[in-house]
Order: sequence, then structure tokens, then C-alpha cells
Amino acid sequence: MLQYALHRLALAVPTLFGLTVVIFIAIRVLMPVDVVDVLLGETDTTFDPTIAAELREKFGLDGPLPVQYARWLGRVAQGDLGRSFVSGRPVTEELLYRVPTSLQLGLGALVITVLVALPIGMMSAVRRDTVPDYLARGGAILLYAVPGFWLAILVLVFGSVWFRWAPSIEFRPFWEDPLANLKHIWLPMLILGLNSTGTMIRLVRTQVLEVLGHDYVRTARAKGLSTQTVYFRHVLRNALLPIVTVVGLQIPNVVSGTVIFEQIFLVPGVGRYLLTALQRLDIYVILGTNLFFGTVLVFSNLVVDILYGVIDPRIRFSGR
Amino acid sequence: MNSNYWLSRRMSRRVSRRGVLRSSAIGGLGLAGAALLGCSGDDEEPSGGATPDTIATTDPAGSGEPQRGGTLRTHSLGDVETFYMLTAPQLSGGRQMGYAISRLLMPSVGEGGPADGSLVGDLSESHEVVDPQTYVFHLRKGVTWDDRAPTSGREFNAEDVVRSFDQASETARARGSISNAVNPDAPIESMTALDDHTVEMKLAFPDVLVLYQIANLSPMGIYPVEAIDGAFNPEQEMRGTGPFRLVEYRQGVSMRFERNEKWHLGPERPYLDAIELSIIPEAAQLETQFRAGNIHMGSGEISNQPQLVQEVPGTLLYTAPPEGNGATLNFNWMPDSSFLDERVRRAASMALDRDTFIEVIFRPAEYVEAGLELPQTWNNPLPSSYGPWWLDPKGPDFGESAQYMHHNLEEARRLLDAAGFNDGNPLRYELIFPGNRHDSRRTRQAETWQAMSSQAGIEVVLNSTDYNTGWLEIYSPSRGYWPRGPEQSEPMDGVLYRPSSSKTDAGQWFTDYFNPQGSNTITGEEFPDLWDQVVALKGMTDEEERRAAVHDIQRYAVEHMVTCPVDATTDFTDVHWEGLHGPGVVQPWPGALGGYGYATEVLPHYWLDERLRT
Repeated sequence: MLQYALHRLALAVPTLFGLTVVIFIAIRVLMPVDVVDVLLGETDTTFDPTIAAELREKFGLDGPLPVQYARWLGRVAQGDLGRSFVSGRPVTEELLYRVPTSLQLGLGALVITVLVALPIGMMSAVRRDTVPDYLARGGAILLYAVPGFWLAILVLVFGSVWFRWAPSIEFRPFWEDPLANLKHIWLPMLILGLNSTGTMIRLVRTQVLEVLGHDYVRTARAKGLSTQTVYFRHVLRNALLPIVTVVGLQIPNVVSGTVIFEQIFLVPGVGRYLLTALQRLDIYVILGTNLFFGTVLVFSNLVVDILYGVIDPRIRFSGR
Repeated sequence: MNSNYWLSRRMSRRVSRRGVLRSSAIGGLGLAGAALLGCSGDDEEPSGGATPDTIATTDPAGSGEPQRGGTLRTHSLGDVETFYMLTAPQLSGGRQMGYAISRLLMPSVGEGGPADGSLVGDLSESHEVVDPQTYVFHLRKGVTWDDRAPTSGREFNAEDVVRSFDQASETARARGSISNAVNPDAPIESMTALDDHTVEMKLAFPDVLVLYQIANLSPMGIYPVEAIDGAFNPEQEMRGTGPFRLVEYRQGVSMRFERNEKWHLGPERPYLDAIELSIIPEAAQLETQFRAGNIHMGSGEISNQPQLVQEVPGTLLYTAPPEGNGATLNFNWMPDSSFLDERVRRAASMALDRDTFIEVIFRPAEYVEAGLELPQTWNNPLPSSYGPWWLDPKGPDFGESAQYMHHNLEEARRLLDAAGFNDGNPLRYELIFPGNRHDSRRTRQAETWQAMSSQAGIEVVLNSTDYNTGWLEIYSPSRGYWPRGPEQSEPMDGVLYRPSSSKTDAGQWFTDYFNPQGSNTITGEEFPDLWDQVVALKGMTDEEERRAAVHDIQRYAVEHMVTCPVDATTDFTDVHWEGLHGPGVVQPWPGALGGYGYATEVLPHYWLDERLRT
């Protein structure tokens, strides 16, 4: 298992390197603007060309692009993601402050998705073509169809219009004030989690239905095993592999969801940081946050790969 | 979209937003989508409901005696970008500086009426003009810096002023606007300390507008020498001598300011004990927090105001002069541009019906239905927020040139015909605007201008560009600025929508936008005599003479249509909770939201009664 994990980890290194190249090219080559010009483009002062030169030098934007890339990568390797063009603050420092919050929101949402979808999906399969199944399937389609940001806005608007209610206005990190933190973050976490639940319910139902038709399930029942044992030991475990795959595939959705949900619910995470940076073309922040998101995806895939090995021991031996 | 969409909307029945909310309660989709986009619902259903009650407004006479204490809860749309304007790479973000950072001078506020643009002392108690190029400032005594080390409650002195200016000249982004060493067109040659409490300012040339320039927080905020010398990090800590002191900053979340007990313009003011400023970038969240009572005022960012005031007991609506920002449509001055012909420029302006524009964009009828008549004004191009300095194109004093701002389709067609444009060969131009920045209403505005122009036979092609990748590139220094000719121009005439920001003085506004060599020029090099008139303002010490000259510049600008003044507006409106006293009564300069120094100029006058002291 360790060897398998190390092998997958080693594969992540060139992937991350490729990621830095793609991100850098996307931001510095494909974007048809000079970021210094953008910074200076709409000001209230007489244009001073020395300021542009100063800024380029200060932010490492002088010299050919390959040199700029090498300089940036060298700093990234040392944990320095550069400085914000707008605030002048170090991007690494800002990210370290925001990453735990985004992870809390994203992972919490994922947990909610799994906790809601697994039992409902199973129940729906087990009670196929009954009223609970219809309700579960209808609910799943509704959750699948309703965009999460729309639901979030509805909750905000109607909460305040009908009940004069508003979510907490002041975010506190979990390590500082857990109660205040949960009071603030439960709602975006719930809605973000529900956003992916529809897909998961449908998938769990389909997988469980498929497994329920297998001979070994009939055998388990014939042996007189309890319903609980049949469902959880024989059915669910065998249905899990594709479900884990889909959970892994949900991670990009959750990550992108944090960008919108952090903005709507006043959560100072990486997503909101990225959104603000995009509005300002704050390139080192855009590079840094994209690198973070990319790294999360690479490592979440790694975790999923390892989980395959845990769920299905055959993969450990054939995975190389 | 149908080019006459907005005009045809005007003819349709006006409806209330209450109806929208009711229908949204069932369907929900429209409101939520609109709220996310930060705009109000446009596709409203007729309500058919009862006429709304008259909305309550702030009554200055009923404000009572100011009381000390309480915490004002307000908001900011964005996070603070810098604590230190002397080295910040961006110019924006200075608004939060106004809580704690002082200047030598600042604009006075209007109390119970609009401000008039006169200056009062901030850290300077008085000043004298020794000769047209020498000013002496007598600084306030007994002003102290922050109690914490390294400033340790030290008394503010002349060295702080001199070193702040020197540092600004060296590293501030706006240094080109003040320091003659950086820019020969900038006035200030040097600042020298004559003694601990006296500073001499030498100018490279006579310029009375310089006082208004140093009344702007950017770049003339005064910082302690300890910040400049690096004894503490001013990029991480905001320390000044202003009315409030920053006691807590949570990145992306909030700022908390507490009263500076030793403020030099105290001791009565500020009345508030503290201000909590939550960072709320999202429109729906902002309205939600206001409705729930978590913030005390909307700062102009909440839409649906008449409806909100009727629905939420305890809220009030107030009005103030229009915002100091405006916009113009800038003609291009390329050699083959159709707009080099004055007749074409005038025709483009006369095709626009500015009163209808106000109806479409600002919907004053909804306020009238609710019992509030909003004054309506036209920028000329100087924004109407400049009070006595602004000349009303609808008034008797403007003169004959005002005709070029009045809607006259017949004359517009005649001028176009004389210039060689007719139905067979229509004037066709591209209107480029940043559709995703500055104001969510811009697209609707552009469509309105397009529809109006079409009635005069002018074909306007809308080009909504992305702010970062399109708009600023057109505008960027390396492109040589668009009014002089874009490298990427298409074989079509073009007009560039250009927002303007508020300045401390009308003369400064002209200096920024009419300077043929300036980065913000909207006139290019086509009107040297106009620029001569603006330069002449700098030597006018008599205020009446200068005001008359400012009025003449406006007449000239309209007569020659140096830019098309499209912005027409109503008075500013906003909501606040009953119990907060000040909004609508204390008015900043220029316009409703003032400049970077708003927090110093206005907030010390605000106070809370028992209803909001929780």
C-alpha cells in the first residue's frame, strides 16, 4: 500500500510542474494585456513612465517571460508566491490565512453531500418504486436542477424579507471562536453540500440497485444475515467504488463552488480572494490561488486513488 | 435587443417593485438572479396594488441634540487595499484611510444643506499666502500620534509634514500630481519646516488650485516620521491623528475603529464611540444585513429604496446632492474621425433626451409615487455635484450654447445632413464601454443612448468590453490613450464612455480631463484655447473671478462639444435606520459620497440615539 501511495505521489510532481506552466502561460501569455498598464491605465495622475518601470522591477515582471517564469517558480519552490499587486501583501501569507477556511467550507460541504446522499440513495434503491423512492428521486432531480448560488440568494432574500433574518455578518476562524465560526459557516456549507447531493443520490441508488441484483446478495440473505448486515457489508461496500470516483469528481465542483459561496456569504476564503484578484487582474494572487486549487485537485485525486486500493484490494496489485 | 426597448418602456405603465417581490415569492427566479448581479429587477409585473404611503425621510429639524456614544455599524464593498498611501501600488482604497489619517486642509461639510467646496484646516490651523508661489502653514499644536511605541504619544510636528511630502514625491503613485520634481506640470517644488509648527510650501509656478490638491488624502496624507523611517510597518498598521483609530482589522471581514479621544477637532466630536465596518461585497447580502438591522446605513448601494422603506419599519430615506462621479462620451480625434466636425458632435449630443434618460435609469417616478420629488440635473460635463461651481444647462445663465444639450432631433438631423450624413449614409459609430465595471447600470445606459441616437438616424454599435482585458487596454498608457487614436481601431468611428471621479475642486476636474498631455485627457490636443482657460484658473486668487471663469469653461465645453456630456441624474438617495442622525443632514463635498476623506469630514458629525445603541 505504501509503495502504491508513493508511486502515485511521485506522479503528482510532474503534474504539479505542468500545472505551474499552464497557469503561468494562461495568465502571463494568453491574457492580452500588460498588467502594469492595467494597473496604471485608469488613474488620476499624469502618467509617469518611471512608475511603470519601478513596478515591473518591484514585482519581477521585467525581462523575458521564460526568465519571469523561472524566477516565479524558484520563489514558489521556496514557498514564496509573490506579492499582491494591489495591496502589496505576500500572497503566501494571505493564502495561509484563508486556506483553512476554504478547506473547512469545502470538506464540510462534501461531508454533508455524502451524509445526505448515501442513506437517501440506499433507501431509494431498497424501496424501489414506492412513495419514498419517488420523493427521493424527485428531490434529487430538484437539487440537481437548482443552481446552488440561486438557492443561496433565495435564502438570503426571503429570510430577510419574511423574517428579518440575516446570516451572521462577522466571520470568525474556527480556532478562534468555534461557535461563532459554525454559526457563520453552516449555511453556505449546507447549501454547497446540497448542491452536489442530487447527483450523488441518483448515483448511489443506481449502484445499489445493481448490486442488489447480484447472486452474492441473494446468498447473503439466504444465509439468514440481518438486513443491516446485508445492506451495509455486502451491498454498500460493493457499490462504493464508483461512488468514491464520483465523490472525487465532485471536488472540483466544491472547489469552484467556494468561489461563489464565499462571496455571497462573506467567508474570507481562497475563493473570494481569487474572485477579487480576477476583478483587479492581481496576477500573483491569481497564480497563487490557481496553484492552490490545482494542488487540491491533484491531491484529492491522489486520495481517491489510494481509497480505491482500500476499497478494492485487487487495485493495489494491478495499479502499477 | 430591440434598439427602442428602453424608450418603449418609458411609454409603458410604471409599476412598483412590491409587485416584483410578491411574484418572486412564488417564482423567485427573477429576483434572485437580479440580486446576484447587483441590480434591481427590470422585468417587473404590474402590481395593481394600492398607492404606497408617503415614505419617511430624514428631518434635519427633528434630529435633536447630538449625543455621545454608541457604535455605528456600516460596511465597505471591498477589503482595504492599503494602510499606507505613500507606497501603495494602487490609488484606490484610500477611503478607509480617512478614518485615521489627517491632511493639512480638508473640504468643509454642509450642515443642513449642500457643501460649497470651501476648505477648512485639518492639521493646519491657518495658512497665509506670502506670494503667489509661497504658502506658509501654521500647524495645530498639541496634536499627538498613537500612544503605542514607537510613536508613543509624540506630538505631531512640521517634520512629519515635510517627510510625508518628500516620501510621497518619491514613492506615491499620485506623486506626478503634486511634485514638480517628478512632473513639470505639478506645482509643489518643496516643503520646508520653518520651525516645529510652521511649514513653508514653495511652488514652481502660481497655482491657487494647489490648496485643493493637498486637501485630497491621496497623496497628501500626513504620516509620522516613524512610519517613513520604518520604525513600524505602516503597511500593516494604520496610525494617524484622525478622528478614529483602527483597533482591529480582520482580512476580508471587518475593521473596527474607535474614537480618538485626542482628536484635534474634538473634544465633542466624534460623537460615536466606535465604527464597525463590515466588508460586504455582495448586493443581496448587503440588503439582507440592512433589513435585519445589522448595518445602519446603505451608503447608496441598496436598490429598491422606496419599497424597502415601506416594508421595514424604522428605516428612513434621505437625499443629498448627486454623486461627484460622472461620465462623458469621449469622441476620438483621429485624422479621419467624423467627430472632428463640430456639427457632428453637436448632433450626437442633441440626439440625446437627457430627461428621458433620467426617467429610464433613475426612475424618479417611483419616488414621486411615494411622495418624494427628486431634483434632476444634467452634467455639462462638469458633474452637477459641484454646487455653485456648476452651471445649469437648463438655467438662464448658461447662454445660447445650452441648446446643444437639449433634445432636438430636427436640428440634429439638419446638422448631420450638413456634415454629409443622411439616411443613405448614416453616421455610424462604436460606443465602447466597460460593461462589467463602475456601475451595473452602464449597459442599460448605453442601450438608452443607442436607442435615442437611432431616432436621429445615428447608428450606434455597442461594444461592451471586459474591464481588465479590454477597457484598460484601450485606455492604457502604452496604447497612447484612445482619444488620440487606438492602435486596434476598427474601420468605424468610435466613442469611448469615460467615467470621471470626483475632485476636491472644479478646476481640478478640468485639469485632469482637459489637459492635452494628461493621462486622463478627454479632449486630446484639439482645444488648446480651452486648456489655456483651465491653466488661467491657477492664477486667479479671487474666488468670484475664478467661479466666473469656471462657468465660462463649461459654456465653451458645451458650445464646442469637446466631449458629449451624457450623464443626467437625480439627487442621491439612500436608506438608514431611524436613530442614526447625520445622513442627509451633514453633506460632504463634492456630492453625496465625498472623496477619500469622507470619514474625517462627515462621520465625526454622525450620532446615534438610544434606539441604535445596542
